[in-house]
Amino acid sequence: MTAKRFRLSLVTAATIALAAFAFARPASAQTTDDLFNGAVLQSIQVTMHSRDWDTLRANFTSNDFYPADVTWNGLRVRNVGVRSRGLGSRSGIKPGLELNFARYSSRSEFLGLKALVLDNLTTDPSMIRERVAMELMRRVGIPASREAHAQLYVNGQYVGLYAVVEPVDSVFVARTLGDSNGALFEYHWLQPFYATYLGDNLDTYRPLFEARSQQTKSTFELYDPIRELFRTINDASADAFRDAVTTFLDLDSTLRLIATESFLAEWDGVLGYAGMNNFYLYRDAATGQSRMLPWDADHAMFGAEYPLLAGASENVLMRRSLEDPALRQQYFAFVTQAMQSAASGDWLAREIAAEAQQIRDSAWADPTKPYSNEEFDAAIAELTVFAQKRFAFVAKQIDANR
Amino acid sequence: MISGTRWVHDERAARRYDLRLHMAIPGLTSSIGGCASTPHGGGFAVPRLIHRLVFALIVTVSIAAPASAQNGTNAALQDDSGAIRWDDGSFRAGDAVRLDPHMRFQTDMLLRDPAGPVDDRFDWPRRRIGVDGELFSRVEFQIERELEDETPWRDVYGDVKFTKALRVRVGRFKVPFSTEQTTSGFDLDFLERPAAVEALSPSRDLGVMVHGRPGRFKYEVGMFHHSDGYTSPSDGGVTLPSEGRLGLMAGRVAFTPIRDDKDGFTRDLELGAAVTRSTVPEGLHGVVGHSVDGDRFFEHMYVKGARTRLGVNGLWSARRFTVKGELLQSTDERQEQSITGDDLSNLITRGAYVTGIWRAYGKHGRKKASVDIEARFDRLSFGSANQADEPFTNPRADHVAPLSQRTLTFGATWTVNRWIRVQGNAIREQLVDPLGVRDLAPAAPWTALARLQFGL
Repeated sequence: MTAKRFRLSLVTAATIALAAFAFARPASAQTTDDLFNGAVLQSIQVTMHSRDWDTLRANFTSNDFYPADVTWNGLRVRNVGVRSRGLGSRSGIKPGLELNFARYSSRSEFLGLKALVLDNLTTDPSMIRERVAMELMRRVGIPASREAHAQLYVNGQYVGLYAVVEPVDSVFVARTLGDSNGALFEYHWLQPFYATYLGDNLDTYRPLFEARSQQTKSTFELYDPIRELFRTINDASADAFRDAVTTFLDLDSTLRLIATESFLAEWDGVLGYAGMNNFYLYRDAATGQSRMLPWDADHAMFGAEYPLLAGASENVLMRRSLEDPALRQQYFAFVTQAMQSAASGDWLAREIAAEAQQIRDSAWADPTKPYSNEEFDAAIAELTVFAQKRFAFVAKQIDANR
Repeated sequence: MISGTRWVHDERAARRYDLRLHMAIPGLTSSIGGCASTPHGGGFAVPRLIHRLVFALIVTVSIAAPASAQNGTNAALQDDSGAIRWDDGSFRAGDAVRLDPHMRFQTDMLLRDPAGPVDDRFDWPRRRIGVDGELFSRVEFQIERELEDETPWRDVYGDVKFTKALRVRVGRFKVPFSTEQTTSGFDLDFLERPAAVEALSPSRDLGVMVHGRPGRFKYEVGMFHHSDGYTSPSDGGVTLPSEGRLGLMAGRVAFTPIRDDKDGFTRDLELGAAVTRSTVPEGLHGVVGHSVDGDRFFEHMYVKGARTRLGVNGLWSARRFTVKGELLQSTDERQEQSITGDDLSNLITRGAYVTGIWRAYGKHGRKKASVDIEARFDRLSFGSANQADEPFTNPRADHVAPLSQRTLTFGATWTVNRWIRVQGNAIREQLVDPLGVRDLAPAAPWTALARLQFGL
């Protein structure tokens, strides 16, 4: 072989290797940004024993896990724990699912995630409220779950259109807050709760705030700061309210979250129609300050003329915050920011239109959704009206209440 | 049942007595239909097979009785001892009938729990009444019932002795496999059996067993109705695998080259082996692992197909020392249990224990006053035949992530007299996850338990 031919062979081999690497890279280099890329309608395949799938659907109120393989975009994750999830959205026909990648091996993960939520979208005929709401929250700087829509196939059969939701867990707080050493709690709605003081007994707070991290810590370590938070919210004098509450709660981020939910007419959020709902509480290990993280905004954009301060007078935290002039100004400033962000470049209307367009065929083909295709179209039309009328209504409310 | 009458050994009376024996346990046939370990509780119709077994028991006793009654008559005539009498804890009617009623109680006290304070330190693990005895030197029987238990009947069987080398037992009794499992709960060296024995041994079942002691050998071979507690469709139970029927075959053989040799260094030496084979229906029926406090540390796996158990045991005693142990293994098939419906590799559960006992006070023999100091190490491990792929803990994993439980127990047993026994145990258990796929809690500190046992 001559030197020239040898060099040519080397170049050819290198070219082939580079080409192979270039083609292989997209599969191996996929990240959670690809998974939650809203520009793409995702597709997820779940393979599980047919008996397990039948049992999961039959016992949809149970939290039992079943083993499955999950495939997304050419990536296959084996031995994933799958369970039915949700509260009011639980369904045996179209089960909401949690995919827990670490359930059967603490070493397992998927793109760095320990778990993934497949929201069944059964409580929202438009199927896009939550994703739009979370998108806006992230736009205004609130740590909120990333979401994308996905077609779900189980054992090769199309089950329906779902939302792929990033769960609020240690991975999430590490990504969004840069720290996961604190204590994370999931708030559970058990009865109407308006941030009142529930007494000295720590066991009263435990069912409301389920520890999602540091479960091995004592009840006192976990729940004494929560008890003191609500004691302070209720008992602090008007003059000391802001400083006293700030010891336990990041008021700035809390008001920003409430303000954004208010702009979005979130009917079932922190100032929900039946008390506080749909949030997590994360307590920073270093400062001891807690902050609220949004969750499950499938009742957002409830109506264009939903009062901006709905629920504010019942909730002690919000009522007392609004009684503080500085906090009141801060709250309306946050509402204004949320409104401006949504209005910027007609973002809200365009986002609604884009998501509706993206999912329409899949939504119509969804065999398990609990509403008709006409109801889906009507719900999208309602959101379009919301995007047209909400700004003017909120502006009036700000002027009237500032 | 027979008090107040002078019982005469004749054929007619013997048959009447047999009839009374079976009438004296009303509801027995329906109660023993549900196996103690069955996971499918609830009432169901009395199966035909149970009727057959009970009928076989009655027939066996009836056949044996007349022949023995004839011999017994001769004995009664010779020594004039046919009167009913109470003799050293037994009702006796001549030499032909012996009835030993008994009641036995155990109460446990939790002395130290690593989990923290406990509300209720006391427990009553066993409260039993029963009767055993012998008829005509040919038929032995035992009827025992647990007080206040969902499955109250324990041993209910008749045992016909044809020769020393050939006996037939019919009824409900412990399946012959582990020697520790077939040891009565009132005669254990420790408060609890080794975890491996509890996990891997079959429990009581309805069946028929041939057994005997030819020479220095001992054998037991039996067939049993239920398969590890799973009831057949005729009992209202589970759906069977299409290719098989439920049922369990078991056999055990032991060789005792040296027995009760008071002159040599080795007093007793016994070596044995056992095997069982059964069919397990589809479902979450794999072997589970329990910790000392009863919590599960290894959950059921999906299985379907044959379950094969193998065991070997040994015992050696010399002067005041006794060492004994067992190696046990259970293999479960998992036909069509992968997420795609393919076969999975077999589940393999292994266990072993070794016990050392030093008789600090007293002579050889259980019924006499004595003090024993004991130590035991036992190990129970879970895994699968496939050990090549990535391991997982899920119930359909082909490579089941291995997990083992290691338990060290120290104990002392004070046999006060034939009725009262006091035991104390200190237990430390540890879970070992060799591949590190689980988030295990640190090793638990010592648990301490005490037991007072009373029996008449």
